[in-house]
Amino acid sequence: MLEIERLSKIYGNGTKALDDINIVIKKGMFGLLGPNGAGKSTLMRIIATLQLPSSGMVRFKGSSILDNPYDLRKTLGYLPQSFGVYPNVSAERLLDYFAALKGIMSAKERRILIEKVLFTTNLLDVRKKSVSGYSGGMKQRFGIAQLLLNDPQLIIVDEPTAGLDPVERNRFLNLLREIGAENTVIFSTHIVEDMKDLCTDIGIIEGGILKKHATPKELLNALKGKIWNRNFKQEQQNINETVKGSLISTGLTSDNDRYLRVFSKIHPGNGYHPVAPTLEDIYFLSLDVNNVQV
Amino acid sequence: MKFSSRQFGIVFRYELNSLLTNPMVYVYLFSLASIASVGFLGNSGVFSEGLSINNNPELVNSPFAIGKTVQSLNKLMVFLVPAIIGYIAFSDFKEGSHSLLYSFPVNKWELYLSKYTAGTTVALTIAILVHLMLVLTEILVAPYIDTMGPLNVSGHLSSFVFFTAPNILFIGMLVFTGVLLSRNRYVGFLMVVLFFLLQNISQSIFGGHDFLVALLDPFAENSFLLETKLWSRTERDILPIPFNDHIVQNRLFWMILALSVFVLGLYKVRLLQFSSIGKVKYPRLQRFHHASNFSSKGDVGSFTAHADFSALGSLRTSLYLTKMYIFFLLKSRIFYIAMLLGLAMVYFLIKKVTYADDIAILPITGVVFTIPAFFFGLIVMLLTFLYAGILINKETNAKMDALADATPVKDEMVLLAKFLTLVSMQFILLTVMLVACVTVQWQQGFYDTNWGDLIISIYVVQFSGLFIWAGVSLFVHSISPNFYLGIFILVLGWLVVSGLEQFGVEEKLILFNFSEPMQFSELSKYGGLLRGFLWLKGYWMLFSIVVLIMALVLWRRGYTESYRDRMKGRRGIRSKPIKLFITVLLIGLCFTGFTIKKMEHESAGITQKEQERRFAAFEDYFSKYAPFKSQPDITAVRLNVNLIPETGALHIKGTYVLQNKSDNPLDTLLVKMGFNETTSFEIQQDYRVLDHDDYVKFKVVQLESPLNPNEKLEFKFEMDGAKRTIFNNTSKVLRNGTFIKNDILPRFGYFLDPGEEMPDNSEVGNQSYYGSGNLPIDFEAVISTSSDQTVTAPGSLIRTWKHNKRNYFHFKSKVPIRNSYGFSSCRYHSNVQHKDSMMVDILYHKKHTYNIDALRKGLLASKRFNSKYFSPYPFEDIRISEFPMSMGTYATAFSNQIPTSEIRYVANSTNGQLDFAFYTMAHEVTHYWWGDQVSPAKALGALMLTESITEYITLQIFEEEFGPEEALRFLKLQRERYLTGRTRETEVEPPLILVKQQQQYLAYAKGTMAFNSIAHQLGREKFMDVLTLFYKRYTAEQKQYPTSLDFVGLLKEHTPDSLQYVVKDLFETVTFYKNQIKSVRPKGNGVLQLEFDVSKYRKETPAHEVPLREWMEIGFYKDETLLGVKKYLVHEKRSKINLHPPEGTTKIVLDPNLLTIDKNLSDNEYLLKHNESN
Repeated sequence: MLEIERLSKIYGNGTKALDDINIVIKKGMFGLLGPNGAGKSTLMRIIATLQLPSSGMVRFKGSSILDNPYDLRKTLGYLPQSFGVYPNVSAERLLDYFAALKGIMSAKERRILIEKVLFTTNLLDVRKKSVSGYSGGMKQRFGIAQLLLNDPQLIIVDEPTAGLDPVERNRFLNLLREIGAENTVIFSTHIVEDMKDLCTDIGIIEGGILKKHATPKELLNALKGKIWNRNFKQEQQNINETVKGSLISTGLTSDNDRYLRVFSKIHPGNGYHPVAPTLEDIYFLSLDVNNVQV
Repeated sequence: MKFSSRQFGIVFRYELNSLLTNPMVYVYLFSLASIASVGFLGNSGVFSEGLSINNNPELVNSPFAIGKTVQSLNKLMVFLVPAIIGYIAFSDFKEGSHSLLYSFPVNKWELYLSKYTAGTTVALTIAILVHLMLVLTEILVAPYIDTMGPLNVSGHLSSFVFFTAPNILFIGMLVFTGVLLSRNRYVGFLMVVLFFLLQNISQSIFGGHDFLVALLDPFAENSFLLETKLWSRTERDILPIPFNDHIVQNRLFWMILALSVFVLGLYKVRLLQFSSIGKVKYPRLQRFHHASNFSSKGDVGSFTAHADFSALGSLRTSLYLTKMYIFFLLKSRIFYIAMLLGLAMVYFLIKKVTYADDIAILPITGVVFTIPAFFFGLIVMLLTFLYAGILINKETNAKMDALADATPVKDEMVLLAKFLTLVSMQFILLTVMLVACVTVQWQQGFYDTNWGDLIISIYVVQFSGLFIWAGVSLFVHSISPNFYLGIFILVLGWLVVSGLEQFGVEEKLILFNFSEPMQFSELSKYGGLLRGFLWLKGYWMLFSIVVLIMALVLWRRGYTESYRDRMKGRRGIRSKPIKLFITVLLIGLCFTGFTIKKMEHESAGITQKEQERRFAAFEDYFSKYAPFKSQPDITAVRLNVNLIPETGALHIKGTYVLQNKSDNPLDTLLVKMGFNETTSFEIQQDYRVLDHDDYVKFKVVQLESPLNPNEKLEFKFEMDGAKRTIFNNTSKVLRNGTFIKNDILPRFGYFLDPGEEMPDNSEVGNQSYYGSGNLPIDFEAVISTSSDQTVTAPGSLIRTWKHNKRNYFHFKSKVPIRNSYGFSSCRYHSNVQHKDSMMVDILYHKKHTYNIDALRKGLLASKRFNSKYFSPYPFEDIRISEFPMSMGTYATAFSNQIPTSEIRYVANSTNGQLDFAFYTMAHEVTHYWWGDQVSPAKALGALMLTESITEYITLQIFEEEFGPEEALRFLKLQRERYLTGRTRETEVEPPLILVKQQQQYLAYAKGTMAFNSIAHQLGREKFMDVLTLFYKRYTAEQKQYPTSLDFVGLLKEHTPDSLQYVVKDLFETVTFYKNQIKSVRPKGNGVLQLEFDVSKYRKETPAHEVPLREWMEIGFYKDETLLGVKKYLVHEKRSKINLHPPEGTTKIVLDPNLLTIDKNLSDNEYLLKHNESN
């Protein structure tokens, strides 16, 4: 269990990256949603012991990670948003290096372990190639491979699916879920879709403030019967006059009709029909995109 | 190539702006300007408190002096090139923004030309400001410094325009191209290191081929030095910085090279994501596509493995990392390039010394590691600076830091691994040096490598200093915001520390990593200095570990904004074992520091400055005794000497018999005793001490009853030698290779030399050049030493015995000897031969057998030659013994004992070089006649009668032994020695008849040329008659000491009018010739018309020509064989003569026997073309 109490981070230039974050993250997948610059990466770096907060406390399994960073690192798997590797070094050799950094000193054990993670990430065939020459997806898989080496109990992945093709992304998320079944996985994304069937918990963060924290089910339940949709011909009328309730999103349908998706506790009027809420609705509403109060 | 000045302007302004807002640039400017200013003040002698005895010193701001200052400054300023121009070349690759930039419609020529221009503009601006700082300093301090001439703007301007600016421009182009193509930020700095190597290596490889040495130096320093090589003191004060031959060629060569590389490089560079030059290849994506998916974790089971976080486990991780880093190091091409060049440098440096044409040394172990040590150590130090930066930034540069930092590896283990890697790199490079040393040795057939000495020298003496740098370099790079600044701080720090010592800072605990250079000798090893050295290095090693811990405290892990942030992250350091380690370390540091302080105090007692002050005070008070010139002479010396090599103790009990040889009674004795020794004395009669100085060890004694003419008096003394101390060992007794001269024993008279008188002063003939007490003495000494050593001293060895496990030696002179003696004690081997009714005993270190025959031959040849012309050699036995080269490279004659520096025992004449060992003995033995028998008066020009004549006679002996060609080679060496020696002259060069004691280039080198020239033109035998006449005249009359004028007077008497000018030119004035063959034209029937110029001038600047009426020799050669010489009388500057050269002549040489002194011999030769010679 990861407990975060009154965590704030103010940078030297005055930017408030995190503002009094309080959250308890349990075993399972925790999805961190938020727009760019919301403070996701700062929060993750602090949890990964790579940055110090200005104030507050982070505890993993009851032990303060700020006081005992090494204890956390022993059980931590971290994949940053972007990373590089030593040029011209094979995946196998680099993984050996990371395994050693993670304290595995038996060469034999390292060899077996590396084979396992290479297999899991499907890099076995290319293990002799240098990672600096890998494609984006392969490199990301390498990132996962190194993360798995110490059988981590806390896994932090920062926007891991960016740059993966749909098939890769799917499999990657499955793998994460598998690991998350027994451990704590925190992963950030701004692809709301990734969260749907995956996360046991969702946190939405903006401007350094945690806006929401609940299970997807709770969130969706709260919106049940309050999301409405209406389609109309593009040229028909002024949108502003048409909108009833709080606008969540608008766009074009495949027939080139315009649609309006609104939040309203009561039936907004003619033409609107109820639709099932999605995580995206929650995201938009939480971020206060259109000044809607849920 | 389309060129739009707009785009150029935009990029240029952008880069310029980014540089000008970078604080790093101002750090460079400030530090360089400070160094320029302080360095200039240092050169002006501001820090040396005006104790100079030179009353006519050289100008410190002459164009030449400014040029030299700028040359040293340029070596530092060249680091601006990688730091600014290389930095700009790399800037786009640093953050990967090049991939974005390259997708824009940019033209690579504009892009990179503008970047180069911006970088160069900033670097040049800094250089200009630094030069202005130099000028400003000069203007500000000019009123307070006597050695400052008027501000010479052209000197400053030309140094900048000829050297500084081209260096930055050309090296900038090369570095820019190198960084751009390799996309490696370190390449720039490495290139600069390689340029330094090139500068040095070309000197070693092409030494003697001035053209190449000058051309290949990227900084044009060698060109400057070659162009000004023969400048005399006066010329240095006046002449502008030359811009001809060597310098122009060099600048053109590097300009063309740099431009070609730059243009070709820009042509080659491709605006692609991946470099086509570096190692990164395009990934072959298609081959990987099959493997584009994740498997399930369930397929492989758990990922658990045993992780070891124990202390031992951490240490193993650290060793693993070390291996990994070394693996990277060994994969890097730049490392191998540096290593190979280093190897080549060591090889050629040693070869240069051991294979030199003239005087060379054999490649014995004690020599081979000494030669490259300094320069190679410097290169390893610079590579340490570089690799410390690479290692510290390794993960960050690969953008892998976040991955690595999130692992549980301890900071201290990462730092330890980096430190171990750096130290391993040094170890590898030093091993390369060791291999190079041994290779050269073996290649020349010296297989008996002395491994012990070699290993201590390389892995203890050299390594310790580098180890210290390793820790400090890691610290500096870990706190420096960027790599270039780190390098700059380190180079600067190194220079400042080296400078501090010159500015009079003596404190050993402040002078970082500094140790006095220790000359190695195979006899005495490091002469007892190694222990002090190790203490000092131990102290700085602890210091280095302390700063490493500071590096750990400020270690960068994760995302930090400030040093405070970094420190906050270091909670691990507060762990108990680390605290304990730090405490132990600090106690160790304090302990060694304190011990060193204590030992330093014991060794030196007082500072250099204090010492100078006390001597000045002494002189102030005691100079009133200087006129007491009349002192009794020592006529007999009896000594009982105990020297204990194990402890360094020395005890001497002695008795002098003094005799008043003057015509008046004497009642005042001025007694000077050994400075570092403790001496007490007793006099046969009552006396009282009038005055004394306990620091200088000087006593003024008044005898109760005066010593009447010819009356004798016994003077007894006891002396204890100085204690063996750990720094600047003051004990004269070494563990092996002790060499003690009699200057530590009591002597009489006011000892501070008031300077020499003019030789025409009528008084000078009464006093010997060697001071009072110079009459021949009866000498007797019993000397004891340890049981494994042998002692030598003058006189005959009467008896040796052993007592109480010590060796005793009894020496007694059979004929009186000169009152100048000494003794050596060493584990000698001995080679005894009886030749020419004399026993010759050569004492040598067991390995130094190479020149024993040559030494003996030189001795015997000299004895034969001089006995024939002057008087018989009175000694029945003679001993030659070697002393450590750390005590000097000279040889000296103490009557029948000739102590000779080790270096002359290992002289190399195996490759056709001059026989230096033969020469040494021929010269030293000649001093019996010219020095001992003819003892000159105490006046200027005295050395002409000792050294010049001795050197001329040595030339004659050389000619008898080896033939005229070898003698001419000897003469050529003397010419070179004279011309280069006079450039180091700090005063106005006097004529030979007024040569001063320290002017060896005149006494030896010009002296030989002058005597050879007059003897050649007068006729050798006739000249020997003059010498013999002079010898007889001044050895017959006791107490009348001759001056140089006496000799020149006699010489003139025997010189015909037609040759009087030779005496005037070579003895009485400083005269040079400018000889040059202008043309040779065939006139038919084998006749050639030779047109040549001869001019003669006295004052060099402006050249003051003297009318001619000279005999000029013309030599005819077939290749290198002399066919004949013809003499012509020259009246005018330009002569045209018809010659009939001997058949087969291929070369005509003006003045082939070097009878005139011509600074440039290259235009004195004419090689005949095939049709001309027929």
